Amino acid sequence: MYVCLCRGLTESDIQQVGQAGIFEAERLVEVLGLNDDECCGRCARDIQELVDLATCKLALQCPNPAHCRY
Amino acid sequence: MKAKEGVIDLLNKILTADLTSINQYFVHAKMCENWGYERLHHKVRERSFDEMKDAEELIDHILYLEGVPNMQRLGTVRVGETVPEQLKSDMKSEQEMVKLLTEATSHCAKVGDYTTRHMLEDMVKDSDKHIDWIETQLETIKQVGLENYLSHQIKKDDS
Ligand code: FES
Repeated sequence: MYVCLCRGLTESDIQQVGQAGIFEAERLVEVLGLNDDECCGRCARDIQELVDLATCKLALQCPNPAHCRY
Repeated sequence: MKAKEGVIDLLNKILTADLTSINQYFVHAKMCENWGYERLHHKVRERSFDEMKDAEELIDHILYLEGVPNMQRLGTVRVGETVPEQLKSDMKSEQEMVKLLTEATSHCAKVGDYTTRHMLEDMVKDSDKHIDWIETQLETIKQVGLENYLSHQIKKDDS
């Protein structure tokens, strides 16, 4: 799935960013430029979802296997 | 004609969902075209146009009820990267639409707005049909495999 249309980012893009060490909400918004003028900011409203995506591949074990989408 | 209590708000909510679906289905259709899946492209594009017709009906009706159609608001457009993702995402949108329409239908019944209710009931039928079509596609994929399914989407329906 695409998670950010303004930047054309997919779920796996966010996971890669997470693996590169960027997974905190503020850092994600900053690095991905989700607050820029040409971005609608919609995906940043559900920033927790992006944080979950960015962190889920970092954990040794999925913290929430029952509800894991990835 | 003056609208009954809460009807304009509900119609605008449905309009928002509708405008969102128009965009979502349209981009899915265009991605299918780009991948060469002519048959799917046509089918999904048609659904986008159906939503457009619904939007027209909603806008006309809101104006008739002396309200202002909210063309500004848009929900989240959920774009799938693959055909199955697109189908599931569209299914979710239609399910949300049915929920919204059902709530609005019962509200209209409660306040005695039978014209609006009738219009919304017709829209539920279309959404149900679309859900049914998507379910069939997902089931076919399960049975024949994604590759087989997709290879049958390359041709147009009437060619
Ligand atoms: S969808 Fe991510 S900023 Fe618009």
